[in-house]
Amino acid sequence: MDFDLNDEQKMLRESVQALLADNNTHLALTRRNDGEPGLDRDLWRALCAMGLPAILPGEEQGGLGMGLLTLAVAAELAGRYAVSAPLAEHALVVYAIASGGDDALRSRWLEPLLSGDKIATIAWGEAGGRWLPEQWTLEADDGRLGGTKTTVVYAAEADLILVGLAGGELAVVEMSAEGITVAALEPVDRTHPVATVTFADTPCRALTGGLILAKQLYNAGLVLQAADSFGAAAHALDMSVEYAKTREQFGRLIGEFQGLKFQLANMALDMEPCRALYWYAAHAWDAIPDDAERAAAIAKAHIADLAVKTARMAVECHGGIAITWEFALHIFLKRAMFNGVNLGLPGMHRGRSADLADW
Amino acid sequence: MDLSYSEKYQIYQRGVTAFLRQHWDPGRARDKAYVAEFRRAATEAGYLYRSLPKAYGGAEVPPDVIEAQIIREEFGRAKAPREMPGNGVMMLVPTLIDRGTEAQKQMFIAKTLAGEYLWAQGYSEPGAGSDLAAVKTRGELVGDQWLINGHKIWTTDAETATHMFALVRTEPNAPSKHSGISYILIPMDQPGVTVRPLKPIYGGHAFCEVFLEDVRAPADWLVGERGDGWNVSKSTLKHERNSVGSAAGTLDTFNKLVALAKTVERNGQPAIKDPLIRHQLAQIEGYVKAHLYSGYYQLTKDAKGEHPGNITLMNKINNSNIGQQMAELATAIIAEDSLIMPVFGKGKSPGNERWVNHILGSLAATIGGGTSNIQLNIIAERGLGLPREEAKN
Repeated sequence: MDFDLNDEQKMLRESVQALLADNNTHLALTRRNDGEPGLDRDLWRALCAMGLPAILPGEEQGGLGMGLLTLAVAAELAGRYAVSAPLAEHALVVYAIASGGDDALRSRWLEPLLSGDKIATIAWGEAGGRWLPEQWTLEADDGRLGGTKTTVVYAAEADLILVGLAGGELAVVEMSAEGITVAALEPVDRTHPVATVTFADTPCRALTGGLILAKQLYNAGLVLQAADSFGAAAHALDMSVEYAKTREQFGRLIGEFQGLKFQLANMALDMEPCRALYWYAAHAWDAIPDDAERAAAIAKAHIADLAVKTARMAVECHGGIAITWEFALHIFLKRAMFNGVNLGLPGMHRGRSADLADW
Repeated sequence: MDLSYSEKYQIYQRGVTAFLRQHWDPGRARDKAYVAEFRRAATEAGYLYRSLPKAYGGAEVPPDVIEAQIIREEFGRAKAPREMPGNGVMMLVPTLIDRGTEAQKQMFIAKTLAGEYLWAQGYSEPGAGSDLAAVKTRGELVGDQWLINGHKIWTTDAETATHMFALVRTEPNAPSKHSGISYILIPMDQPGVTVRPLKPIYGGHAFCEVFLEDVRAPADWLVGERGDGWNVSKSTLKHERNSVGSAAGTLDTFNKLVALAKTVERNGQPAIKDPLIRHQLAQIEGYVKAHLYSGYYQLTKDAKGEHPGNITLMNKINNSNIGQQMAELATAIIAEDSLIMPVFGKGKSPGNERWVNHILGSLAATIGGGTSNIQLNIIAERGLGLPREEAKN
């Protein structure tokens, strides 16, 4: 029994943490937040130089074969420091092409994606909350794709997009191809620019692997998102605790008041056990295939809900300052909110976890 | 990460199961002599009383949290008895090992392990609950005996106990309330000890109040130093902390709740098909699983001799919070049956109303052993490092 990160994972966590702590300070985050939402290119290059996109594919596929738990640890930090980059989506596309792409696709795309020179994203969802591979409806005929996908992150910056098709089939589309319309939306979470993407007779290339690969990618997406939510909420909680130790009212630190203490203790009580929950879900994806789908659904539902609850309470604990745009806390709240809805609402995943248990 | 046991522990696990096959017959669980003999053999094999010296009836094996976890799992699976339940083994024995005199160890430990001595915990008083150090029970040294007067409450098993370990104020002029208390062992079978059972809200027997009027204890039945009883009562052996065990109990209750929801019929279908009940079960499962895997993490860290962090402060309240959620959902599932007081015992075989025991009893878990509000204070102050609230006494 060893339910802990291994030394490699701990080392990776330390180096990613150091990079992000230096670059994504609150000042940097609030400045970014004032500009147009989009990819933080310097940080992206630095993260790719650490090898993050190579974590999932096996060594025989040109990757590191370090498993989803390793990538999830990086995703937690991406949430904790509100990184503006499609880390999860990009890394999953690399895995998808390495596993289900033909030689031509692999030789054309793997290298620039691994280096981060090219950027990939995923079009999962469709209107009406159709997030699950079994619910996708887009069809590709003779290598030509039509239809609309919603809530696609970083579509404007992506060079390559992985598109979910009817029956859980998968295809990749080069964003330079004809017939693509990207309608950017004004996002609430400015670390996740989103767009509606429409394809009209757009050339695409199919991946092999079908529904099995699609579900594997989707489950991994849920786990990475749960890790990201955990990081964002943990940061919001840390900010609240620090504030309670420095802010004075009525001639004393507000952290002396039991009302606030109990709010903060309850937030910690909600969040602290969530780390082990997403670790387990990631480990199940790596090593316990029978439980991977259900563990991912439970982790998504539980952590997404509690992360939003914690971040909202964090705003309340701060008082007026946290309602202002220039105070960084809302960035983490909005990130948690994005994660709550993206890939399907918690309630939907609770329903799935019940179905999967044959309840 | 690897959730299986390593080769070394798989061999150990096989040893435990082989031992159980050879020595344990669940059909004889009510045969006291058989159970006592089983415990003796299990101790000799190194499965019970692991950290206690052989001289006092223990197994004296090196601490190993993974071995301890395997023993819990396998004994649980076989429904074999583990260590004697109760305060004696859980609390008094570790305290004596840590702070007792050689004579005290010789006198009490082996008989406690054998179940000959049964112990009541004389801590709480009507005016000293969460603020335990405010105990008023007085002890005066008269000749070679302590003369004790006071009133203890929430005393589990006081009716059957042969002895009590009690917090007694022996130094009324000490500079602080904590430094005036001594830890004294008291024989229960003597004039002046009056035990009055208190009936809990869920029925049956649970705890008592105990009146002590001119009760006597030998002078050398004081454990540790005079006035150091507060620290003595806090002493625990640093061994094989059971961080998974508590979550295992919660998981067990959750699985029973799922089974209940599958069998109870609501509106012509199993309750588990009701969207609201189904959703709430799934929601509770998130808490149960997070708690369970956090237990795995603590077990791993303990095995490596590393500190698992703030999560260790949360096990008690996590259990009792999840217990509350399950109580609410159990009420929604059994509905009208929750209006019936269950009667347990031979020939009674209660139906779904047996869950009333959990619905009401789970409240006791939010209070006993440190209330949930005290737990939140501990998380806030020791865990998050928020300023301590100073006492006014």
